[in-house]
Amino acid sequence: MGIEKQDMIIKGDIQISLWDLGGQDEFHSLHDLVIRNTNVQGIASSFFLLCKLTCNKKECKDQLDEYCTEIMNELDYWIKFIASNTRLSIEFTPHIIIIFTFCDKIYQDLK
Amino acid sequence: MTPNQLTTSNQKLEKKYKKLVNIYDIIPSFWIDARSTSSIQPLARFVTNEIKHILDHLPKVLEVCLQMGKVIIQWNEEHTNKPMVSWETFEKLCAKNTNLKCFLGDQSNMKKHYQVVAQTLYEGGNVLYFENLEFMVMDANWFCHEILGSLLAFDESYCAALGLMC
Repeated sequence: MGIEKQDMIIKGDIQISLWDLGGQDEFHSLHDLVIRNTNVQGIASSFFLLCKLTCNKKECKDQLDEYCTEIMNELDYWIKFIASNTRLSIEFTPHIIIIFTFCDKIYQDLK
Repeated sequence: MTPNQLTTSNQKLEKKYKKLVNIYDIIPSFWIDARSTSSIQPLARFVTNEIKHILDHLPKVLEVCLQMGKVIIQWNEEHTNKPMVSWETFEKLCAKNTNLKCFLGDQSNMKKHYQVVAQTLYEGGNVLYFENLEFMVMDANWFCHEILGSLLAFDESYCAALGLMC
């Protein structure tokens, strides 16, 4: 658990720095340190928001609507964070891909 | 949350933040099994093509700066026990890079140009650089684990374990 960074080179010449920012609350105050975009032209960052759809706690299953709202609020927080930490350029706005995980489990639960 | 609800929620977010961020409306294009290599291929191709598109349209100065990213990776591989460098060492690394040298030419205030390179590398996620410090963190993963990790672990039990607490 924590902020992790990994470098990779794909297709021979595309270099990617992959940052796992750690979504837990205690890391929120540190994110400004590792994401800082001051370039007036903007930077071409892509963001992947991993969103786990399942919850092992009983109250999540009992209050599914509230849990769904909580998920959407989390996404809302992260999109606002990304938008406020990246400069808008003419060419690029920050790119975001939202990935919902454990879909197979939740649809099984809902059946 | 049903698949339809997911799609609707995604579209709502996309509409709400349309002017600020680019949220890919990929649902339901990619329903993947993350444990299967063949299942993730369509998404991997999509991401790779998008990255290529972004790189093709980068301003020239950024492209040259980001070539230094590979130099940083190589440097980290060769200096696993040196996660930080002095500003002088970074300047020497920049001076060795032929592409960067050609692009910048022989100019009087090279430090200012190298600062722009360092800033771009920071923004690109390659290094950690702060203008008022005379060093750079080359291995950001080390910094996140060792320095930020220690800060987060800093509580009474951590201090007691280190013998700092009476």
